[in-house]
Amino acid sequence: MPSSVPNQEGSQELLDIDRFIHEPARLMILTYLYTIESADFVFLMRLTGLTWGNLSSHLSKVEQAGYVEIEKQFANKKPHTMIRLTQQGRVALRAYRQTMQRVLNALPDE
Amino acid sequence: MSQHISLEQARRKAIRLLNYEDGLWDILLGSIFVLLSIYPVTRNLLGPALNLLLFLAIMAILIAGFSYARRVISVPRIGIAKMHSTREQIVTRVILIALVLITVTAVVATLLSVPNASEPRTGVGRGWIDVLGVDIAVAVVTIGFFSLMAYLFGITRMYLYGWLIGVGNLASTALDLYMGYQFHFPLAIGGVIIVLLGAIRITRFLRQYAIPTEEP
Repeated sequence: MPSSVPNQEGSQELLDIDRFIHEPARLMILTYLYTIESADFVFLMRLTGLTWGNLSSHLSKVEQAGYVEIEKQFANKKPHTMIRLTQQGRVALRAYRQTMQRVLNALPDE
Repeated sequence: MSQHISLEQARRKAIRLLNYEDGLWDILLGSIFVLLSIYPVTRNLLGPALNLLLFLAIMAILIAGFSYARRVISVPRIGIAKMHSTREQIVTRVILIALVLITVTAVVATLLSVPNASEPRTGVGRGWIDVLGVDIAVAVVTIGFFSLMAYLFGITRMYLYGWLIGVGNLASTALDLYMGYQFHFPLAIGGVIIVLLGAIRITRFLRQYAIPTEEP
């Protein structure tokens, strides 16, 4: 077996990884939302460095998956979008981290 | 993107972006210390009561200006966010509030100390620990407070601010007591450096973050 391949237990963990969260932009969005209570669209865009369209597209997907709640409000007659992680999203991200940590720990040393 | 997911780093980045990226806090802080540096001079001109009133009025104007600038400059560019209140963060906040209170108490005690005309406060002919003991303690607390902030939020310039203010204040007091310099210019230099760093930061902030025009 090549040295860069995890052991059998690690390989099984690798297959169990939540591929939806594993996408880098979505992982970044969920990670930041995990650390804060809620944020508006502009703050999340600045924090992640994603473009308006890209962030909007990923947010729609994570909202459909039930991982975030998006609340559209009006402030001074301007549309204002507040985003927060749902309990389901929080649990999913925690499980993803634990799985990733197990996979990385199972990787053989150089 | 790094595979290492550090939630602590993510949280610190969010705090930095929300509170310290725009340079307004730096300008407010530097201005307060510039104001404190001329306090002994204006106290001699206006008297303690009027001077304190003037100082508090200018402070109120600075804080109001800071809040207004936050609302019209920062919020449209970087948006808004609410932070969690976990147990660890509450403890951190309590420590910070305690340190702020210690520092504020030290500053207020300095402001309210009226020089006694019959027994002028001077360092000449006395031991330096006796003369500067309290001021050394204030300098240590100030450096400690800013270093803690720098460490907790990952804002490295706070280390510099701690030394500028702590050492600046101590040097100012020593120059006042031993050489009679009422204008606290070491503190003023520190304050001006902090204001300038804030001005550089806000210029960079305005260039980097344009106001977004669309909303999905």
